[in-house]
Amino acid sequence: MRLAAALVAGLFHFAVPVVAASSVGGETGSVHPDGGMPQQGRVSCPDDLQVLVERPYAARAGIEAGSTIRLRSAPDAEPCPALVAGLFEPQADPSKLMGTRPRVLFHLPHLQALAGREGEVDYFTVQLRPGVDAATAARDMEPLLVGTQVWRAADVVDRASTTFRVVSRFHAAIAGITLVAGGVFLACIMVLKVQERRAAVAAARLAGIPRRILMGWTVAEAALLSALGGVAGLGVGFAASAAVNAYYQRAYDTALVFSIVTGEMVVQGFVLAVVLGLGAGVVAGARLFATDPLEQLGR
Amino acid sequence: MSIIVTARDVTRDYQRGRTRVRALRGATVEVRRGDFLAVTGPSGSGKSTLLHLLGGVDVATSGEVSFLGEDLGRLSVEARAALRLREVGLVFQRFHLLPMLTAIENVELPLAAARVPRRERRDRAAAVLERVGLADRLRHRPSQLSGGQCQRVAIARALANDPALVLADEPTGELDRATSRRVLTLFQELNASGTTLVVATHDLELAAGATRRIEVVDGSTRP
Amino acid sequence: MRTVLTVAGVAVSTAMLADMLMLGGGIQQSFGELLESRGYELRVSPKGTLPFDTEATIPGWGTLRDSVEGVVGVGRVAPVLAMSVSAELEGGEAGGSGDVTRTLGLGLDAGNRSLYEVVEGDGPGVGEVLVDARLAEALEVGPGSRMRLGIASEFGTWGRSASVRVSGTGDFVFATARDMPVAMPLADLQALSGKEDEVSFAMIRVGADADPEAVRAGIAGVADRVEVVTLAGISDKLDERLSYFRQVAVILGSVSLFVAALLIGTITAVSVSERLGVIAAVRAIGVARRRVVGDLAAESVVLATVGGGIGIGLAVVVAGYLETILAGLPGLPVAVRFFVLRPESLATAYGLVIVSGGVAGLVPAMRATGREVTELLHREEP
Repeated sequence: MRLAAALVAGLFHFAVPVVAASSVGGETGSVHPDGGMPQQGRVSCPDDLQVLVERPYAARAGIEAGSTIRLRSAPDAEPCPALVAGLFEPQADPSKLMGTRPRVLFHLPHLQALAGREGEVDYFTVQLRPGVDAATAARDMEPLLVGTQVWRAADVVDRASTTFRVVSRFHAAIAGITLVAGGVFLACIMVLKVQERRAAVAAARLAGIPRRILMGWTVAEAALLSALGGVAGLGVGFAASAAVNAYYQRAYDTALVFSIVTGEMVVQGFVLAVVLGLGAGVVAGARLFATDPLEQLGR
Repeated sequence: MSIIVTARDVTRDYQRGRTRVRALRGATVEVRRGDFLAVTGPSGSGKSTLLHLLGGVDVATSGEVSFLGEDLGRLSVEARAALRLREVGLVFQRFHLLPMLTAIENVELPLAAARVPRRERRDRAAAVLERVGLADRLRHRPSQLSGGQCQRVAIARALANDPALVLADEPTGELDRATSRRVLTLFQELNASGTTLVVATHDLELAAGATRRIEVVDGSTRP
Repeated sequence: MRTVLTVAGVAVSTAMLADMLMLGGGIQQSFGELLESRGYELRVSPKGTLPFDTEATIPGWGTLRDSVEGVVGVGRVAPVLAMSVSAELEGGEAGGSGDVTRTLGLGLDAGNRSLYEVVEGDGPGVGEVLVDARLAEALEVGPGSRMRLGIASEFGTWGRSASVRVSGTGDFVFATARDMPVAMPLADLQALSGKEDEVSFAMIRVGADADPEAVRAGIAGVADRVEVVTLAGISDKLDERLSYFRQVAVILGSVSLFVAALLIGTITAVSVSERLGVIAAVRAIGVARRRVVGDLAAESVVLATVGGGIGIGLAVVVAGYLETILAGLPGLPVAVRFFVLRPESLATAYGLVIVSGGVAGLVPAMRATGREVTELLHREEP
């Protein structure tokens, strides 16, 4: 892999090699071998071994900057003392959300020595010169790097975000069903409300108040009711969103934001609620005015 | 004639918000088997309250109401309900028929509650509807009947369990004059065949058609 | 109309509840059944991975296999090498169609058919492949066709390639929507990929009297650089990864139940308040309170029963729709279902809606009949 890295570095702007031993978490990169299990060579403890430990794990394990920990690349390997030079905040990366293994950052030669993999890397990232097409570069690069796979960063991101796209579609479907249920509920309540006051409406009709005005009142009331419900629902939405974020950020000890209520969603939710209310008002009003006022008064 | 119900010096107080209202103050009345008693009086005089006490729908705040020798004030809510089911028929101004049930099903209701077998209750309900002149309206729902017919169904329902006493509270209050007359005629026919009736009414013609009359004024009874 | 709307509202809520109950335990059951159907109780994979999880491989398989087979209780060992391969139809004198498909190649021991069911033809012998039935249809190949296989990457094919004969077509039980695999002898794929002594994972069948957990511990003892997991362990890990859906199921299921109860409770409350006169009259006639309450609650139960019944049917349809969405999640075998149509889920949803509907109806009924009959009569009679 050293040769490959040199070749790539010569061709392109620069390459960042990364090695991951089995005792630490792997990383996603642009160029990496087909297989993952390292062939262990001679293991040695590097002098002045210093590492960074991820903050959430350090907090759980009681590790602080300045602590000395012991590291080994395999259960039967010789442990090496390492100074914790500092803690690092893991990047908020959705694809690593479910990763349960803590991450430790080494100087590359230190980990290569510790893992007995001198001169090897698991993958390296490549920054292209300005104007170079990533797909073309990858296609050109792969034959040079036999035994490796080359990924465009965009493809890596795309793969990692597929899950989230699917989950978003799932949420949209659930929202659609909820909308149907909400619409039915609202229509039901409006029908009940107009039925409650059918005598008053009948009296108003007999008194000569135009149907148009009474219908307008019914529809306006339904719209107002659903607008109020919409505002309350948005309040619940904000609270639920905050609760979801608080829960998952705590559960996964991450700064990732899981639920966002955007301005667009607020407008969409509110408009939908009012439209549903108008629809329910029209349905209820139409039903109310379909009956003779005298009949409604029970005469 | 044997006594069915007596009320002696009964009072009935109600709490209306923070105010305590005395609906009846020292009312006394005796109903004998075969009576057709009209209770008259202005609105709010306590006629309905007196009827409710006589039928065990309500209990007196003081005084005693004895129904077939039983002190109603000593009976539990459910015991009074059971007594009403067997011995009292109630007729209301607004009929209060179950709209989703047919005429015969409405009449069957108290029979079903009294656990009368299905076939028997159907026969009895049909017979009592025939007695009130609705043999051809058995399968009609209240919405398909006139006000007078609805009230006759309600009377049939009151008669279904062959009660010792029928109490009617403003039975003609929602009916026109001609229909009211037919209801009076029906009551007179029922009374003639042995039914004991107490009717609270504003309707002077109905009151005049009764065999006995008392007046309730400001919660007190006057013969 | 309001009855129709209530029934519709209850139906939608029931459908959502039933779907969430199906979702709650569906994937674990579905995946568990899929794993168990293969008849291998343990999986050995590279440390920190699950089978098909990554393209990592176990090196030095020959030595490791000897160690594993030496563990007491180990019955059969079935190694699998999984690699991205390119497949090109070889046909006629032109020497190929030119269309290259990237797919998943599975190298299996001879006679190991645990990852596929043969649809047509036979399992692969040396120099042969069995092609996923969907892929075979897409490429228009069948038993006897010839294909050229190479090792594929995102950007093309590299290394050696080999001409192989299609022995048959099959359904691959762990295939994802994206991968339409081909199976071939392990040695063939190892030679093609240059991974002569590597496998991606191995399936272990334990002996008749052996305890899988004990065998797992035994293998872990002799092979510390691999992950040895029981089927339950795999299922638990998958469940852990998909815990989000379980949580969603609990929240949405609870909300649905609440909405159904609220709807029925509202309707019953309005219905009761409209009929206070009748209720008072019926109570005055002497009908016992419990009977009146029972009748009113029964109306709610009927609403819940009818709405719930329709909702159960709707749930099946909605589950199918949601399943098509979630089937797009990467890396999950096509055979795994998020929404497993389990009678107990449907019965639980139906039962919960009926009970909650009954309770929601009971409250206004109790309140109405608990009031003094005379008070109600005073209100209703002028």
